[in-house]
Amino acid sequence: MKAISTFHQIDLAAFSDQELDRKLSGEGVQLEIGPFTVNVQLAFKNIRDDFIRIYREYSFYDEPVIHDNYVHIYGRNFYRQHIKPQAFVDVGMNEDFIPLPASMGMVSLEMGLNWQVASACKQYLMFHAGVVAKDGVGIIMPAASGSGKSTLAAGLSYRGWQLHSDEFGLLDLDTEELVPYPRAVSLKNESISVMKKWVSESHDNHLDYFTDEYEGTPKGTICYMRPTIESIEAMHVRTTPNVVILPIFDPTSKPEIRPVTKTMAFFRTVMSSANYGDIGADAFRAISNLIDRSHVCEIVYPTLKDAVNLVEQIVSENVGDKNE
Amino acid sequence: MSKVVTDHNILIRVLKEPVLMEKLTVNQWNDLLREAKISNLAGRLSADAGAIGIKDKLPAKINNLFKSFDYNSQSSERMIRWEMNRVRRALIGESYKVVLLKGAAYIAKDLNCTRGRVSVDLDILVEKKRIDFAEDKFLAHGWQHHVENDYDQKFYREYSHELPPLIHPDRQISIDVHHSILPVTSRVYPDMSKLMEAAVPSVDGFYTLSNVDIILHSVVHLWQDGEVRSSLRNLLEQHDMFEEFGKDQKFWDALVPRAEELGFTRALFYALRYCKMIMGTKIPGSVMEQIAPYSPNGFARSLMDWMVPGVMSPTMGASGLSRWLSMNGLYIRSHWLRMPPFMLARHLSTKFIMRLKGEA
Repeated sequence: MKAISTFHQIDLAAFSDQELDRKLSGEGVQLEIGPFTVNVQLAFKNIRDDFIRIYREYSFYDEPVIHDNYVHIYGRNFYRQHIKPQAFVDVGMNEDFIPLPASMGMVSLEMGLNWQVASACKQYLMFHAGVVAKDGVGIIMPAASGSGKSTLAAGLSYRGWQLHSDEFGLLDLDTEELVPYPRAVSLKNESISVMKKWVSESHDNHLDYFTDEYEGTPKGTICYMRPTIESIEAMHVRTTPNVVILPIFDPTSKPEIRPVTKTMAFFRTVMSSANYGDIGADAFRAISNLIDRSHVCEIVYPTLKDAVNLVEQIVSENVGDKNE
Repeated sequence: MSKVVTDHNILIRVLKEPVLMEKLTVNQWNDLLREAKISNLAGRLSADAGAIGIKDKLPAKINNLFKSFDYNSQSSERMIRWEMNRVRRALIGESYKVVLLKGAAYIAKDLNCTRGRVSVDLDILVEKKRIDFAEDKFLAHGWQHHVENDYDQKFYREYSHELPPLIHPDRQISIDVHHSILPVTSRVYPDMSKLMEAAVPSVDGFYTLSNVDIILHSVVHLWQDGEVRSSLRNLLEQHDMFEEFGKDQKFWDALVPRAEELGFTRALFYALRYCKMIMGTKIPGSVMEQIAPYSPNGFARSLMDWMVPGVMSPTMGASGLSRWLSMNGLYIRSHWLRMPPFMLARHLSTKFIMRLKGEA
C-alpha cells in the first residue's frame, strides 16, 4: 500500500510498460520520487527501457500536477537522433550538459536529475550521504564519493532497512524529519559485482533489479539498481534522524567502531551538506539539533557484510532501548 | 503582433499583476515556473506573492518551491554583502571613489528591484588610471584571475571596459572591476568622468552612481551592450526603477537631458518604449515626447518591435524560428555596436580557431 503523497492529493495512475513507453516518447510521464515530481520525456528507446525497468513500480500521475522539474532527453538533430545517437539533456536551467552517447542509457537521465536536485533544491537541507531508516531509527551516513556510502545504504536496504537515498539525504527544516528520496541507486566500478552478489543472497531473479553496465562514463563503469519495493512504497514515510555514522571503507582494515566527538560529527555533517551555506542560520540550527539528538560514531570496514553488522550493532547498543 | 506575444506570456502577466497567482491552473503554474527559471526570476515570484500576502492561498507545492527560491535569493544577497565587506577591506581607505554597479548598487540602495533577485557577481567601477592599482590590491588580498588564457586576458585588457574577472578561491563570487560602463571599442563611448563626478556616497565607504545614471547604466547595458539572455530580468529592473525613482518629478526632468549629455539617447528610447509597451510602466507623456526625436527610422523600429517581445518570452509566444531570429538578430546587433567591423571579424575568427584547436 503506497503512502499518501505530500503534495498531490489526486489518484495515481497504473500504467502498463507499453503505456509508459508511449508516454515517455511523447508528452512525458509525471514521476514522483519522494517530495519531487519530475516530468520525464525520453526520445531514445534504450533509455526508455532502462527507465521502465528501474522506475515501473514508482508513482505516476495521469492528470497534470505541478512539477518540481522536467527532464527532456533527445537528439538535437536527425544525425544525433538516428545515425550517431547522442543524448542531449534539457533540464530547463540554462545549463548545458556535455551530451553523452545515447548508448549509455540512463546515465544522462540520472545526471540530469542529480544536477537539478544538487543545484536547485534549497527547501530541504541536503546531505551528501547515504540515509536509511527502520522502526523509528533514522541513520545519516555522510561521506565523500568513493567512500562506499552508496553501497552501504543500498546494502542495508536489501536487509530490511528503508532506503531514503544512497546519495541525497534530505531534511525538512520545519519538522527536522528525514524526507525519503529513493532514486535509482548509482553503483560504480567494483561495487557493482558486490551489490549483485548481495542482492542474489536474499532475492530471486536478482538481475531484474539492475540495468546494463555502462562502461566509459565520466565516472567509470556505472550500473543502476532499483531500490526495494518496500522503500519505494514508503517514499512518503518520514523519520526523525537519531544516528550519524561516518563510514570509512578500507579493504585492508579490521571492522571497527570508533568514537568521535559531537563537535567533529557536527563539522563533518556540515561539510557534507551541499546547501548549508545557502540556507544559512536555519541549517546551522537543524544540524545542531540533529547532532545533539543523535548517537555519533565512525566505522571502518573492509567488506559490505562487516559494515552492515557494525551498523546493526551500533543501533542495538545505543538506540533500541530508548525507543521502547 | 509585438504586443500580442508578451501580453499572452504567463510570466510577464504575473509580474505585472502578481495577484493572478491565486487563480492559476496546474498547467499555467508549470509554464510559469519554467519561464521564471529560464529568466532567473523564480525568486521574484515568491517575493511578489509574499509582498501582497497571498502565499496561504497558493498550492502547497508552490509554497514548498517558493521556500527554496527564498533561501536562494537571500543567500545571494548575503554573499554579495559579504563580498562587498571583503572588497572594502581590500580597497577602501584609498583616496579614490569605488563605485558599486548593478546588483550590488541595488542592494546598497535597498531598491525595490532587489526583492527575490539572484546575482552571481559583484561589479565595481574605478577611474581608469586607478585600475592597475586596484588589481594589485585584489591580487595581494588573495583574489585570482579566473581567465587564464592569454588571448582572453589580452582582449579584456585592450578592448573591454573591465579587468579579466577576479575570484577569491574561498568564495564563489566573481568580481568585475570596470573602468567604464561600455567597452572602449563601442560606437558610443561615454565621458566616464561625468559619471564618477556625479557618484554619491553609499554604505561602508562605497559610492553608487546617481539615480539617473544607475538607470542609464542598466539601459545601455541591455539596449546597447546587449545581454540578450537575461533581458527580461533587465527590462523588469528598469521598469522597477522607473516606477521607484519616478515618484520624484526631478528624476523625470533630469533623465533625457542626462542621456543627451552622455550619448545614451537611442538606448533610452528603446528602454522607455519597451518598458511601457511590455511592462506597462507609467512614464510621463512629456518624457515620451522628449525622447521621440531619438527614435530610429521606421524600418529599424518595426524590426525591433518584432524582435524585442520575442526575446522577452523565453519559451512561448514566439515560434522556434522567429525566436531564433530575434535572439540572433539582437546578439549580432549588440556585437555590431560593441566594436568596429574589422575588429569584430578578427575577434570572432580568433575565437573560432581557438575552439577548433580545443583551447577554449
